[in-house]
Amino acid sequence: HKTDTDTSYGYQRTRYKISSSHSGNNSMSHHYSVLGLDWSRPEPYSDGEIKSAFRAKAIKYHPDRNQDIREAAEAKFKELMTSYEAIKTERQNGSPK
Amino acid sequence: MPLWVPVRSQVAPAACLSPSPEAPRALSLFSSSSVFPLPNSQCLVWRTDLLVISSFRMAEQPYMVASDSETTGDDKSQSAFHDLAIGIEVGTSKCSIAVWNGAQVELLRNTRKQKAMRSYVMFKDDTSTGEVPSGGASNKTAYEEKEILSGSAIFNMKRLIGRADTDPIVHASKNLPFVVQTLDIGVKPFIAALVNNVWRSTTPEEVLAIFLVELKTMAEVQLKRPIRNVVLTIPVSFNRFQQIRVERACTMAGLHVLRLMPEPTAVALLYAQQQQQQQQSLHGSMGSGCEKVALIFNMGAGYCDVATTATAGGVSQIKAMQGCTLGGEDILKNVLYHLLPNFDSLYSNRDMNKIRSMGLLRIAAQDAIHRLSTQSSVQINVDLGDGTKMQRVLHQSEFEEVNRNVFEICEKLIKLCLADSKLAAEDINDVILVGGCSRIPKIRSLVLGLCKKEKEYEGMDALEAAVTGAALEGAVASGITDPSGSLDMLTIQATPLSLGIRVHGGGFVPIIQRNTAIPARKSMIFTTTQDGQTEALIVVYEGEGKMVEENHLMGYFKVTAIPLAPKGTAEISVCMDIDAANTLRVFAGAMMLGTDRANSPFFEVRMPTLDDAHGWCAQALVKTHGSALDLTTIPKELQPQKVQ
Repeated sequence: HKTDTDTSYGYQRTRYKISSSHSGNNSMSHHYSVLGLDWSRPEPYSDGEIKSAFRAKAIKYHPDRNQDIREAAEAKFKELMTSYEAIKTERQNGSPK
Repeated sequence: MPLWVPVRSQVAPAACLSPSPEAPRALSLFSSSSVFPLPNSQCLVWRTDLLVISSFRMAEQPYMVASDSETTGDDKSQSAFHDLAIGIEVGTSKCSIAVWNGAQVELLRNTRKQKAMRSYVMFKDDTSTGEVPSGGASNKTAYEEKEILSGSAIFNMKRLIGRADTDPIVHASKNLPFVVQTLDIGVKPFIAALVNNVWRSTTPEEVLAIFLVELKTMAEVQLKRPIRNVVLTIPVSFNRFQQIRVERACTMAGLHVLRLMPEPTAVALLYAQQQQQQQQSLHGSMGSGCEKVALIFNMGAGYCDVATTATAGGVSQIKAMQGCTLGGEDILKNVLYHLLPNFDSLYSNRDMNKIRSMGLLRIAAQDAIHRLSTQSSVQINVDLGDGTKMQRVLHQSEFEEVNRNVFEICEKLIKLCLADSKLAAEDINDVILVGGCSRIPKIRSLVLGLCKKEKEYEGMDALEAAVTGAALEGAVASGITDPSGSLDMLTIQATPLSLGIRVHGGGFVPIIQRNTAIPARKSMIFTTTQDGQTEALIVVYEGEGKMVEENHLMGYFKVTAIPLAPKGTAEISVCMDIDAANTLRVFAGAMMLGTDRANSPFFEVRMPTLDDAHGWCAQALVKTHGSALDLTTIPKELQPQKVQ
């Protein structure tokens, strides 16, 4: 289930009525991959590992550090924040790590 | 005419604000070893550290700045630092400039060798230019401070900029030597400086612009290159209107704002760099290291900010920020009323002798407050010149008692910030105290006490940390890299205020919550409140109040082409986007019933769209449209998930 941003309208093209049906493994594995992590790794990630992965990507994608490709960096950074928040929420809710 | 000409002379160039025949005015800098003669005797004389204005026509029209490409096509520097943004901190009381010099951040000094320069603009008439005392940026001698307090200078711009005449801070500024008039109708206050025994009007933006021209020229002379890009620090509590006014002042001064940085986030960036360097020296390599949580408390003359930040691997992420208009000015005012309970009577009728007395008392009180940072009591001896002589001792306990309200607000801000960041005192590794007021013993003990710390973080200059951080951000955001890794850091900023829209009944629904990391993009689905409603008003506010009237109205627009449907069934998507430069855009439109597709093209609106008198607009909208175009929220479980 793809949940990409439709830039032509500039808003997230996610239909709210079906949103609850795509919170499964697919999107969590996507969020982990955005942070450069492997969701299917048998050994759970520690909080420290998640944070370090996030920081490494943040410094790589932040628009401040990517002046030449600012717009692409913005989109990438927003995606990174969304995925990081999703992973944090999932871990707080005690879902399987 | 080139925007910038190298200047060899010690006497700095004159800058001129000249009105063009068209509405947008151009502001250019001229190089000259003396006062540059200009048509209509509209000229502004710049004397290295004192600014004098003659026949300066106060304008209401927006200013335009000739772009570099038009004016300096042949002036392209070969240096990699050609476009390097400088950091500027315009404080309520003092101001400083810093720049990345290729290896570290360096603070610039004015001709008096000062790194911290007094923030004010002196207004004087043509005829006196020859005799104007030089040395405005110095506060060493009472004479100069006396001059600043004579009514001819405007200061405290940072407290006045972007505020309406209904604002309590504007009202509190009426006890300053220059004129601050309010009509309490929600428009720009009237401010005026005394020139040739006439109160001549100006605006806070204009005053700030003139001051920025001075700073820009000073930096250009010293760095021997044109300056265009700046990173400016601002208080956490600045709303978007205040930010826009600051940006406008920069534009008037020929500066392009690369970033407006809340002061504690600039400090956080410096902290990230220091932590990174410490890690490297400990481990000899770049490691992510362990996370350190810092609380940054910043209090200057005008504003108080608190922020928490988590730092590791050169990345400092702002957890939460709180700020309010509270600072040395409020402390000074409390002390003035304590020393002279009828202080009001000194300025009510704007008698020149009274203004002078008020200035003398201000200087004496300010000096006493400074000395109380290191002494338990101070002697105040001041001749107010009107037959009144004040001779008394001010004890620290008295000082703390009269400022109890100030300390209470500081305490509240810190607690709110800790609660917002879900941190306990035990979670904090470092307490960073910056800003002039952080030197007040009571404030230090209060902050350290709340954070359960014995000592504050060392290694930061309380008065230079913010501007140093701004210069670091200037280098990073200018794309400069440092082989030694000194610039391999980042502050992930957060929005200090929530952004949302009005819903039926006047409630405020935040779409981007405060302390959301930026750049950010969040969206929500709303629905109609009337059967067959085809249009909806999107009214955008910024603030923390539950009801819209407690918040700042940013602007509004109408979403059209909502498909005909019973109330509560149509879907209107509202998306808010803040980019890295902190620009807010609102996207909204109606969805086709039962689909995830737009019914017609969405609207994209850059906010704020409003300027002055925004309170009126909200009332007018309600008066004209009632609730016919209202929106309401849909249940949380039906919202698109945050996780997308």
